[in-house]
Amino acid sequence: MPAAPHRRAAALRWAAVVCGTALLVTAALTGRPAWSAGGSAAPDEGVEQVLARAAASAGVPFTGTATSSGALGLPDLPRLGDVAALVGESTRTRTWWASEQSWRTDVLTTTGERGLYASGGQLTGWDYERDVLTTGAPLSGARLPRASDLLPPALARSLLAGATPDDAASRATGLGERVVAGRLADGVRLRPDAQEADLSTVDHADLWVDRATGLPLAVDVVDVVGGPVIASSFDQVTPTSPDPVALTVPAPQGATVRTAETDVAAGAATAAPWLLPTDLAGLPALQDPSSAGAVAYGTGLLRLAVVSLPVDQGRQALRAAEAAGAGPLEPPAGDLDLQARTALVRAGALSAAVVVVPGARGDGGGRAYLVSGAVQPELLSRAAAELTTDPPERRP
Amino acid sequence: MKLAALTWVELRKLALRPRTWVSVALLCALPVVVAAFLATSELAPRPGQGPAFLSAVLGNGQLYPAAALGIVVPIFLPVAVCVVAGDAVAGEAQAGTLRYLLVRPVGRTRLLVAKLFAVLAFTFGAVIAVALVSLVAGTQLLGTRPDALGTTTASLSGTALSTQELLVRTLLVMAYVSVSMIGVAALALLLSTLVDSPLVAALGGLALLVASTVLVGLDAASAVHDLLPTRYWLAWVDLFRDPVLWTDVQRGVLVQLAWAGVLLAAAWASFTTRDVTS
Repeated sequence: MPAAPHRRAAALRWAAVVCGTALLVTAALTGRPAWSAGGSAAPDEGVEQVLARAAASAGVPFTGTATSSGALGLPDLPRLGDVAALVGESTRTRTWWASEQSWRTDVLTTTGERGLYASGGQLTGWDYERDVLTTGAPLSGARLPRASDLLPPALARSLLAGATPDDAASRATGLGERVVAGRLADGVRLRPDAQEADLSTVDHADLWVDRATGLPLAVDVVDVVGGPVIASSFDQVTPTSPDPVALTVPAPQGATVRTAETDVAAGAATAAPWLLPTDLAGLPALQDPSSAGAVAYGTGLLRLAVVSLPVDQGRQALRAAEAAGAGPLEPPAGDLDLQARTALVRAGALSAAVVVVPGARGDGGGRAYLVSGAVQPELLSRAAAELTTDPPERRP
Repeated sequence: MKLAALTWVELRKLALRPRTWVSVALLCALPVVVAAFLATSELAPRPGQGPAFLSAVLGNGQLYPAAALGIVVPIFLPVAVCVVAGDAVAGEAQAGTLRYLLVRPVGRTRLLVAKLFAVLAFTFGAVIAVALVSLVAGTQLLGTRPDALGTTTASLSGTALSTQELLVRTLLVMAYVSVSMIGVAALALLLSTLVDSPLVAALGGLALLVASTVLVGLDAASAVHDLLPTRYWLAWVDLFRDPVLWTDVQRGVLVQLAWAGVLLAAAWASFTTRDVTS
């Protein structure tokens, strides 16, 4: 009767294989166990403290890799650089962060690398596939978004900008704890308040903040229909000072060296002819309007960006938007009147309007604005009406 | 029969098969053809398109072995590995020699391990052949940078790599690419113990490759991306960053070892309990 032992041995072999596989899959799916996560013991701080530490995290040094993804389907327009890809696709980055003045962020692709080095108040860019080194870009001032803006710490700080921890905490709820990139993080959900909720296309933003250092480790911004707007999370992070060698700007032999071009946002902000108000559509300015031609307004998750454009550029943008099928803004509710030609463009949660105010007789000019944000068109309409009915002064 | 002797027999068998050399020759021919087109047209793929390094190798053929491995990794190398691994046991069964092979004092586990060593030897050998042929093709057809004096090549991060550093990183790429094939080889070997047709076994291995590639590109399957055998195949590029980004390379090795462990264990359970009739 040799068949029975043979069958038993076969069954034992297959059972060993199945058990081993199950153990392996379980270990892989559960990932790194929570006990290995960095961080201190049980938290004893509220949402307000967590948000305060996240808002003050710019000085926390770190080295890590992160992945961000956006769902804003912007068209790939000239002079917009990588913006459409940044806010519409998945981007993998590797960052060495010593301080706000000294950092390096590489965009990693399967065919190359695009690095950005902040040093001495300037930015230097390196593009491997184009073999180009770009120098002389300013570190601060109005500009288009770049990959480093979508790192979890930078994104979290921008969401918390313009609000005190008390204000932010009044709109926030705790989400408990979770392990992100192998580190223990406290979660906070930010929501627009009741008045803002009708005007925002953002439903909430979840921030996951490292318990040990206050460094935001993950951010998820979700729109009012439950879809993702922007998500960013560290895959791996070490909250220690980076190796200074990694922050050294490369000097590749034979590479083309170019001076950085002014991007479209910086150019428009520099050329902005008109002063912008200190409050717009009930929202306070987040920068000094007297020193910038592009100003962000807002509180909490409700944000509006306004650029005062040279009127000929405004007319060109208006014609281009109308040619692409954009319709005009609806007039705002209430007493405000919208005496301007407008064109509304929507991409996912993002809305943008070009507003051109015809010049009065003898004025010879007119004015133009670009108003945009993750807001409902009604807020754009209100902002456009205020800009057109309350004429500003020219910038000095 | 001892394992070493059995492995030697399998290696000899592999070396004496013309199709082994035909598949290696075809693997080596593709990078040579690509190098010839690049050299004559001097048209590199646009940034973000095509295999890695093809724009950088124009004028610097020393980087071409890595670029050539990048060309063969997604399809051609795994196809060749699947064909060899799928033939390992099923080929003997189809030819009617497996029964006679096991009549000899040869343990089935030992025979399976010898077959595995032969498949791995083919994989490593093919990778070395592709690297050497493409180095010759690259330096002869694409040339080397005239500013070469100790530093000839820029890393992906723009820092200079000395010839020695370039050699070390290329060797690491060769090792990583070889390890990346273990998962597919293990599946083809498992199927080879289950069926009597080498073609079916090879196609089964390729089915895993295609399914994994499709799932890696599907956002809805992001929960399992990190477990898929092809997920980290292109992580060899990270070996040319400065500093080297080891994270995905390490994960890629672990994923391959995990797949290989499971599939080879299944192959062992299958082969040692199978009724061999042909």
